Amino acid sequence: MIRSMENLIGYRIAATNGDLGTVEDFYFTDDIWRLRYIVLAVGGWLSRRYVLLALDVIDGIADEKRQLVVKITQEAVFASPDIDSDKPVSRQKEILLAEHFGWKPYWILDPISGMILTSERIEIDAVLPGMNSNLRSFREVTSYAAKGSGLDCSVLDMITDDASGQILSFVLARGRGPHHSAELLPVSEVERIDWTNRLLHLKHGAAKALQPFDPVAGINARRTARFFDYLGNLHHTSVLDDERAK
Amino acid sequence: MIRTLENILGYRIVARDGEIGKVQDFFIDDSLWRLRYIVAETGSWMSRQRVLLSLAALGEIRSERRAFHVNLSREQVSGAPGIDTDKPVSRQQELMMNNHYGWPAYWSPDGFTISESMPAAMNRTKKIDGDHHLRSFREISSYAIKCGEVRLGKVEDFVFDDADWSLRSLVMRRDSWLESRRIALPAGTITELSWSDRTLGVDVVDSDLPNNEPFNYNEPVNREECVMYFDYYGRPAEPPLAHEHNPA
Repeated sequence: MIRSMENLIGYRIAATNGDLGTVEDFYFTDDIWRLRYIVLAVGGWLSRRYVLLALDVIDGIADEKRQLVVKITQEAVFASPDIDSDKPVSRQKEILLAEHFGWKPYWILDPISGMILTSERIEIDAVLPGMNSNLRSFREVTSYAAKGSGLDCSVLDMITDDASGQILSFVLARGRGPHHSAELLPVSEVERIDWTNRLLHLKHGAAKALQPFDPVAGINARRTARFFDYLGNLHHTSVLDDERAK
Repeated sequence: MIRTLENILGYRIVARDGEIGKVQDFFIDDSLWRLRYIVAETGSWMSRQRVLLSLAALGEIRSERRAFHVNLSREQVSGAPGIDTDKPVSRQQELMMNNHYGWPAYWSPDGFTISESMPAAMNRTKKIDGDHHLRSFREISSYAIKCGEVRLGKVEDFVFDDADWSLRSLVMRRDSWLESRRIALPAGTITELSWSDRTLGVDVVDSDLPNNEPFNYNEPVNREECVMYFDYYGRPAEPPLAHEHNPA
């Protein structure tokens, strides 16, 4: 199903044996525009910590309950040191911090293995050896501006296909304040993301590729079979296939 | 949809301009084993009245609200000729009703339930014209089921297909409670209905019964396919218009 990522923030994550916590953020790669991890907050407000879940663990999304159903147990998440990190620090946040304080960046990658050579404050990096240079936080990007092709917008949201994790487009706010209009821009129209200036550089023809964003458009067609018993009661519903509406 | 009758008893009957009563009983044509009428109980407790509603008037069945929708107005129903439903319904009474509502007679060539098997059935009904041919569901559902002289159990329910309201099977409750209690017998096994003995004759051998699957009301026997549309937020949405370009 094609869906808003912003809307998924705050969904409860249901493990096979109970609730895990809420969706806090997503990590994606901006080279091939793919969603990689769900950032999950577990624990209460005093003992809150963050865990990364790979997309393959998703079993289904129950929108009516605002729930993400995953194929793992609570214990696996709480006990596993591998996917656990006390504080996820996204690379772009680290750049900001480093610039602000004048720190020397520590995330120099080994050119051969792609591994990080320093070992301070890299809990996340340790989890994702070699991949972290492309990992971006969704929440971070949705505070960025988008410029180029005569446009001056801000990023509101991103649209993904939850079957593949492919990111399809950005939702941009054109104009300021209450009079802004929401527009869709395919990711192919983004030249690059400038993490230091918190900016999306748009390609030349980007303005022509903008489409109005209609949040209530029925863009997902889902073929379902509903089963009823002898009493006419709904027994169960099964999804036959999901496709994009024509 | 395939469904049992017992459960429909008590459904609210909703006319075009409001509720008119409740489903009280059904009349089944025992020559063809088809459902013919719904007996509706209308009026308040002071002036209770029973009227027959033809299935030709039936609109939608809403199981989740336990409601039958009918294409009639309340006035039409309240002005209907009263029927003493405790007695079998004669063809004359049916004619009076059809004239009142303007329903097609199902025993005439342009009736609503004409099927391939109809000519044969018409010959039969001609012979028994004026005879009683409609049976009350409530009445039959207390009958004993016998094969020859051997009692197998009692009638518990009937399974109908609401596409043409033909009988699919008969739900029997067995006397013995060591074996599974409910068994569905195909409609074709019914051989006779005896009014005076209050028995339903079936062509089933007692020793075959354990081979039959036990009947379970909650089995998902009906399948309906549909396409649902959702928006970017996973909410149900209107289907997109054909000319609309999909931007995403």
